[in-house]
Amino acid sequence: MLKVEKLLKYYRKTLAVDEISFTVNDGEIVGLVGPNGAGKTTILRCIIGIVQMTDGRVEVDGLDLATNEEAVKKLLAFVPEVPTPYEMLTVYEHLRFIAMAYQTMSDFDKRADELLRRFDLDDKRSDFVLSLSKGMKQKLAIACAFVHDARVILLDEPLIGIDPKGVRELKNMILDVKDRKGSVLISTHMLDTAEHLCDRIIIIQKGKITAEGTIDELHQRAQMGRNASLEDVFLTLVEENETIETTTLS
Amino acid sequence: MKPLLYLEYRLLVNSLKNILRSPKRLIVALFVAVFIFAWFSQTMFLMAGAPRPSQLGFKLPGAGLHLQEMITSAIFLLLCTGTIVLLFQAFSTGSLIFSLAHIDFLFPTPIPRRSVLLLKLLRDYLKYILWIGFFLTLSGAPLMVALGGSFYPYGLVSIAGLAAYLLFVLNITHTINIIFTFGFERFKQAGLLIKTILIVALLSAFVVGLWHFVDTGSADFSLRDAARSPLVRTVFAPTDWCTAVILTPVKSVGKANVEFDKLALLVALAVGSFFILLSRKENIYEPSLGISVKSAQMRMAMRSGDATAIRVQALQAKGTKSARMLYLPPFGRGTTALLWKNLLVRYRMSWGQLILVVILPVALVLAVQRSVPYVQLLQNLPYLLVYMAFLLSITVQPQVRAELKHVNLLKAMPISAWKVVLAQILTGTVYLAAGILFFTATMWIFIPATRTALLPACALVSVFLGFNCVSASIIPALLYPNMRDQAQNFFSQLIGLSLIMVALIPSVVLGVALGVLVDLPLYKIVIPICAVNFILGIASASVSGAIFRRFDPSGD
Repeated sequence: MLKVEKLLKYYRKTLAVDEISFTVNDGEIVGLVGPNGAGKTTILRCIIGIVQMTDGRVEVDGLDLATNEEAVKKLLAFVPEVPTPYEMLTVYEHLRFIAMAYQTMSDFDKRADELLRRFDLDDKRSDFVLSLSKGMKQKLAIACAFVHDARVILLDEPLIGIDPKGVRELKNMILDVKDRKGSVLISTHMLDTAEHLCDRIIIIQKGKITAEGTIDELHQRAQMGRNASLEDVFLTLVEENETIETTTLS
Repeated sequence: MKPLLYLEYRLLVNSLKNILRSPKRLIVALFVAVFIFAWFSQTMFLMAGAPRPSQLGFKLPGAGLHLQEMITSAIFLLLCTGTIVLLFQAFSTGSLIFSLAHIDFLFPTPIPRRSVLLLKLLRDYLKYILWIGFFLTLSGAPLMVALGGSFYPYGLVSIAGLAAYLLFVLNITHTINIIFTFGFERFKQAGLLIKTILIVALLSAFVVGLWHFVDTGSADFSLRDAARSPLVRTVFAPTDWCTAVILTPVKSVGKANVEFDKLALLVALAVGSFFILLSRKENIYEPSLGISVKSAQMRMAMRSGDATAIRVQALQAKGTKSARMLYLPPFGRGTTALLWKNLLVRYRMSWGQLILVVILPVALVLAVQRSVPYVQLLQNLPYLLVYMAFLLSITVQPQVRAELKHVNLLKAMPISAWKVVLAQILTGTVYLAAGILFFTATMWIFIPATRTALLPACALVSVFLGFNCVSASIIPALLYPNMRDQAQNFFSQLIGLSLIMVALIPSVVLGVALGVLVDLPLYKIVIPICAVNFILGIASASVSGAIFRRFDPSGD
């Protein structure tokens, strides 16, 4: 379970994330959606420990990130947006390095073979990463995230640039994580994917949570019928929030 | 630490494999290796032939002491300025640069941050020590031979001193950057104080130097006195020690008075600052994020020699959002619009270079006018325009290769391939012609001796010659378009330069044949040369157009 409490992040004087709190329960997939610059990537980077929180608390399975950083990181996996893998490693070496970093070498070969097969990278295993296309690099980044048994998977726009088979494999793997009671947090702009894949949606705007809940709850909140898509709901809620902010300011 | 060592090992081995696998890369690597070997051998021979420190003193004994003082002052002030730049940078962007792969794949792993930092620092230290060793030997060995001494063995002390000082400064800048990233508000006053002290110290040196210059009129002694300013010596005490240690080979000719105490202090500072940096508890990843991304983009642009990308990076770093200087509206249709766009982009991207093209001719012409008293020599100055055409045509190729990054857009346009290429050639030629005409006008105004028929004749020939050379240099740009590939960059530049030389031959042959052998009047020489260059230029453009038509944007 991932628990984020009052996460506050300032980049020097700029407020990026404003005391947001949410939980991703065991066996749950949560979508983090919001306009560009809303703070989604910063939230993920704070959770994964790349960026230091100004204030707040992140807990994974009861372990506090601030006091048990390495133990917490072992439970996490992260797929960055537009990943840049090590170009001078081969695909296999890249996976091996990640497995070594997470100290999960026991059944590495078997696991690596399966991941490479699922993402159509098995014939590229000895190729340098620099020879891969953008989509293949994205698949490699996803494979790296699944090379160890993470309890919480964090995905930053994971579906951009990968082929339909890759998308299906990723969705299946996310559902596998859910089945084994893991937690998944996906930051995405692809609202239709979020709608079909996620159990809950968190809408972020200017570093704050605008709305949170299941698809049904968000429909109710936006006062829209069940036929309305998440895109309609999202745009309505975002506009509503902007109107409230403008009115308050004026 | 094991995964990190595995990573470093594999990256090193694979990089070597990558070079050995590709003949193109291997040839470039061999060229570089041969160059380094030649330089190393030369340095060794120089040192072998040089007198030992105990055998001979300076060849210039009278000037020795004065020269030493000047060199000491210059090095000290240079190091102070460099240190200030690095320290100021520490308060904003910092200089702890990781690769993008590290950010995406290493930072999220449970490998302890301290291990990552340790390995990163050790790697950087090794790199800096090697560079310092390389450059000090490169510059120090011939210099010491010229002075009648030998760079080694005391050169090793110089290398150790400078390396220790650099590591100390870098450790301090990294530490400051980490502290100020997270305590920006808390330590604001302290930051301001540090910056003020640094600036005041350097200013004090400037003021002392200026005062002495006004008082004595001696530039070199003013430099010495500026460096002796007590405030700058106190604030920059480690810099002072470093300067003394660097000059050990110069000072120790004939007397081995190596300042081991200062070297020991510098090493102690480097080691101490290293442990302070390593003991920081803050998240070292965050300060490096912004600078690492910017640095990766800049490095990529610089490696590829893509002047446009470098300029774009610089503009982005400055936060430029709109066009500067003069606003120029869109103009023309089809090829004309493309040419106009190219001219506009070139103007916006390289107006700094354009200013240089304006300033340099004026400075050169004024210098020549003041220092060359021979009228006959001045009358032949217009031939310089031909050389200028040659030089400017070399600079066009990187611009064209940079434009090929947008080949998907260019090929999708309803403009035929040869017209697209012609637009590129004309862009280069227009700026080249403008530069030549400006130079011509400058000569005409400032040097009366050049006001003969030769000046407009050379100007005209240079423009046509420039067109021919630019056309020729574009052919390899299309054959080797991948600016990220060092081998392609090398071949493109080499073949480009060779083709420019070949393009010059008909003009030289015609000029000599018609002007010297047949002794025709000037206009009868100029017309055929211009015509030949125009025809050759069009022929090269056609060849480039044919290559561009078959150009595959998906391949290299």
